[in-house]
Amino acid sequence: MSMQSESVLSMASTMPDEPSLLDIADHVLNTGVVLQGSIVISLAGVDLVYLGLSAVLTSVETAMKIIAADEKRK
Amino acid sequence: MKLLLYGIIPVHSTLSLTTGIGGLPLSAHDGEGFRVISSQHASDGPLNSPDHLREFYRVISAVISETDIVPFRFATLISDETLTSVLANRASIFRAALADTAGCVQMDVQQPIQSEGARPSTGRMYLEQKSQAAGRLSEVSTEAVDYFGPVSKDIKVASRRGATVLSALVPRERQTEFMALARKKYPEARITGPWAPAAFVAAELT
Repeated sequence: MSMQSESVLSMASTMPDEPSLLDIADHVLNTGVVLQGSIVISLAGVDLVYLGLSAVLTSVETAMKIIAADEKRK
Repeated sequence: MKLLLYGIIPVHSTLSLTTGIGGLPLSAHDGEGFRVISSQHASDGPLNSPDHLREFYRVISAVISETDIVPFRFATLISDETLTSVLANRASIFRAALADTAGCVQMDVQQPIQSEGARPSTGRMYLEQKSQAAGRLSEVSTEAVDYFGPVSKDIKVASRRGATVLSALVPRERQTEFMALARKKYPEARITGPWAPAAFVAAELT
């Protein structure tokens, strides 16, 4: 094996693999800092359920928008 | 106004990257001893496409090439009024998270698991297989800590989708050495990185 090809192989061995979309999703969706919050579901002034929230701020915000839009339509 | 949060960086860091998702400008919000990077979230639409994930990853990767970052989970949206109180209330744990991972990136080694054995037909078999799998992970972890000792500050091992995933907290200047050692020990494995060291963020933040 020539010195040049040895050098190319050596460089290749220290290069990481290209991350797939699944790798990216694993890292950005399943790990990282979560801002936590809480919500109390009440009915007629009585607190019924307490939920600790993690990593669902986007979903909740989106849900609140949908609920608000739905209420406007009624 | 809603802000999309990317990550926490050291307080004196400056970034050459100027845009976040959707080409919107990145901005930095200073807390006590750290900064939080964000961009405006102008769209009313959800951040749920593969392109959004790729763009988020592009931003985090660009930051990693310049400075340390503890990433927020995609897609953390927060109002700009709330951000101020979050920065104040969580200052000490944000600083601790930066200190824990300072000067390091995360490298992942994914090694396919050869065989999980026969599908469990009883509860006892299921528990036995689960215990054996936990034992294997523990062995891999112990072995990896010894093997990568000089080139990694910490190792975490998990099982994910039929593969053993070994995440290493690697000092920036030891990445090439880590790669060479990892390729030698795990020739069939996929090795990806550098990632933001999210696997090493304290449990209280995740």
